[in-house]
Amino acid sequence: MCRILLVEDNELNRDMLKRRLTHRGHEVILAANGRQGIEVARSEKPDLVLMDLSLPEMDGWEATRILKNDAGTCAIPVVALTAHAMLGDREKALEAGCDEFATKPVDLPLLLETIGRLTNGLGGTGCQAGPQGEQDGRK
Amino acid sequence: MRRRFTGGWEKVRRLRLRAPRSITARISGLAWTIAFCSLTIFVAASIPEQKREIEDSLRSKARGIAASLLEGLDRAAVTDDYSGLVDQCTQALAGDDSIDFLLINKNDGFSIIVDRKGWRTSQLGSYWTPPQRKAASGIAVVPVFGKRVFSFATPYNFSSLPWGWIHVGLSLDAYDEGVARLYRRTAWLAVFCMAGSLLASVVVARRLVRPIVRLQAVVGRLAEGDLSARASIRGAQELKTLAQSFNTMADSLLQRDEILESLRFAAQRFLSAAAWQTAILEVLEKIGNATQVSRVFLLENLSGQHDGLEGTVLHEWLRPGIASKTGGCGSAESRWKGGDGVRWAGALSRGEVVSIEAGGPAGETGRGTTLAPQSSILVPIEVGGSWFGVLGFDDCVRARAWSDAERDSFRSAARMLGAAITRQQAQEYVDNILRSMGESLLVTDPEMRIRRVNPSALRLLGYTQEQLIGQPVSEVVEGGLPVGGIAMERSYRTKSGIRIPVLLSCAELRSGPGSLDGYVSLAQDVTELKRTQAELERARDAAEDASRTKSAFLATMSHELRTPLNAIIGYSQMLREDCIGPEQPEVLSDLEKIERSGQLLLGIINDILDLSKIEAGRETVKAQTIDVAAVLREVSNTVQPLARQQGNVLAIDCPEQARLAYADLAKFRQSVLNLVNNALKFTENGRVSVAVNKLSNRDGEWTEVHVSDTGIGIRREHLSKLFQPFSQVDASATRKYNGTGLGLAISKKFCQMMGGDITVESEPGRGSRFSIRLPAGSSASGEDAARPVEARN
Repeated sequence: MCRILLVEDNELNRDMLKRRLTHRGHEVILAANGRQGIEVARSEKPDLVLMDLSLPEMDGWEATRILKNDAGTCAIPVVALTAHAMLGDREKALEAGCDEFATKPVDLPLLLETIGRLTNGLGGTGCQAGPQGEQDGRK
Repeated sequence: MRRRFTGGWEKVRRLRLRAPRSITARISGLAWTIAFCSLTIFVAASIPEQKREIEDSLRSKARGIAASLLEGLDRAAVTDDYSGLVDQCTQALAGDDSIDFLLINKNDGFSIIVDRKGWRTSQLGSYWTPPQRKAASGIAVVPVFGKRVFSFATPYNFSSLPWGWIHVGLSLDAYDEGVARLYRRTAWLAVFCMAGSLLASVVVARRLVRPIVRLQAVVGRLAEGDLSARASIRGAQELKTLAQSFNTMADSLLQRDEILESLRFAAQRFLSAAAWQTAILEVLEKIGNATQVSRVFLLENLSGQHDGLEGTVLHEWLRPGIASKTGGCGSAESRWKGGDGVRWAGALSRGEVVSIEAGGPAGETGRGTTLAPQSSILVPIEVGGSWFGVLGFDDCVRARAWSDAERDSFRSAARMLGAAITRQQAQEYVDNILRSMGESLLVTDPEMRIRRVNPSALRLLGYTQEQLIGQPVSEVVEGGLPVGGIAMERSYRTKSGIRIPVLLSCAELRSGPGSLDGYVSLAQDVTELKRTQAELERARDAAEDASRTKSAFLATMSHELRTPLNAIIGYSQMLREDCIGPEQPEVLSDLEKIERSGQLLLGIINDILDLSKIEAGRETVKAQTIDVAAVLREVSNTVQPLARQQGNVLAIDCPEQARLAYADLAKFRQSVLNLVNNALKFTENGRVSVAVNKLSNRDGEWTEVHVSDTGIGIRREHLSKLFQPFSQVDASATRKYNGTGLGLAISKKFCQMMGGDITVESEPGRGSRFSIRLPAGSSASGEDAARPVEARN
């Protein structure tokens, strides 16, 4: 049972994922773009952030970098969610500070497992000095 | 030169003057000596004889005087009265002046002496009564008188008794006078004879020597090179023969000289003439005149098709009045069949000279009024090692045996002609090559002045040959000649000032090591090429632009397509999760179909996006040291569901020494995943194995990943299309095995971007083996550097 911040611009996907996660017993807070995502993350302190990367106003990579550089939010694990399931996207996301990476359409069991792993006491990767925390993403 | 010439003349003059003198002197000296000797012998023999004659006359006179005294003496002997005798003696003395004395003596010594002083008696000694009573005479100085006289003594017998002697002494004045006259006469005669013989001998000697002198003058002129000099046939038979020999010799010298001159002329003409054809008639005429033949012809050899000698008369010289070899009917073809023709052709083809005594070649062409040659000689002409034709000489006037000199000359002429033809053919060959060349040729001297150009260059540059020769090459080539063999782009400046881009290569022209004769440059007009190239570049740029636009469009479209697709898949999944129940099995099945189709569509879109990114050039390689074993584990996890579904065993073998590689992680993972995915997809109830190894060969160190399966395999004809986009080998396979056929194309491109490649071996029905080969890179190369080269796979 976690509080999950879902940053997603597409309404359909946002709605679908919120419903599926809620179904599995999670509390889902929503944000429609990066800037909003950061604000919500700072105010609500969710257990985990699901961050779409292609976002209006501020994209997911930038938002992740900011969250990971903010002492108040840097402990929150960030799982990148993207339709850019292409090569290099995963590395790009991990470079930006994401703790995990999931492609859309979402493989729900895998995502739930990831969420469970990142929130069951181990938490996120913790605070980092910046985008160079990429060594964690390499494992 | 002049001095030597004058010196020569001096020598000749000296020879001419001294030699005749010497011969004349010798001959006249000899003649005179002979005359002198004869005269001396004659004189020596005749003078004593003359003297004896004078003495004989004196003796007979004295005998006469003595006889005239006998009568008186007889009387005196009887009477012993000597007065009558004395008178008689005195009268005799008075009557003849020449009597010096008369002396009559008795044996007892009584003597009567009568001389110019008178008469006397005396008693004289034995001198006057010689013991031998025999008449004697002689010239002697007699005692009593004490003077030199001719004395004659005759014994006188009285009545057969020796009584005494009569001595007559005759004066020697007349005798001496006669002898002196004799000597005088003889001396005059001798002088006259000597003078006469000297004169005669000189005249004769001169006459004898004069033709020799004339001959010598002729020889001198010959020696000086005046071969027209001829000796006159005069004088003695021997000299006539000699003069004739000289003239014959001079004639042959003159002819030989003319032949040599004609050969020299031929050589000079062949060397200076632009084409041998322009010189050949003059040369034939010159040689014909020199060798005094009637006809000289050049026959081109056409033998070979038929037996015998066959050819075309190319050129011909005729002495006036001699008919043409061609028979005057314009046909230059000549053919001689039969035994002679075959023999001639055989000998000529072997390079031998054929001389024909009579009935030579012209006889058989025989059309019209051809005068049959009395003697002919055929000399083969060799051009470039093969028999080109025949140089033929006919003498229609007289039969002649060709001298060695003539044969040699004809051979020389034929060789010169052959050499001229060879040279011209070689020249024409080179000229033809230069003329036929499409490239433009400039040959310069070492100072880069143009020496030779070909027609292509003249056409391109717009100059005439005369305008270009001698000009510095910089007049027409901008940027200088790129000596060294590598073709460079330069500009030609034409006469009208237009610049033409050319591809120009230049090499040194050397006739031997160390001698630079100039440069040879070859240029190709690349105006058209450049235009085509520019057009191609424009077309390529446009195509690339279009491709980039297309890729960008595709990328956008893919993203846009995927977002609703995500919703489709997501909602169908959600519905499946929410609506699980046995009462609605058909709904569940339909939802699965929607989701599977959505997933397939998603895969296609992902692949298209990857490919379009690669083609748009937006894909970059970020090489780093990667853990191959970890990547394989990850891949294995990903494909386990598929492996189970297909009933396949997946075996992975990654030895420790090959664990690390240097590559772009994402691209490597994607490539391996793709291959393993494919292998599992096309194999059922089989085995898929992944093996990693390190390899080093002369191209460097490599990491190889082999993905082998025991699946359906690929037919040979499909292997080449395997890596092309949208080319799943069997159209029906798409339906059976899913996938777009883009995976292999993308993987191969990835590996190529990383400096490696993907290759495939396959046997239909037995399975396939795909191999990724990537450069091992800097981090892995050090530890394996010492390893020997291994064979591939």
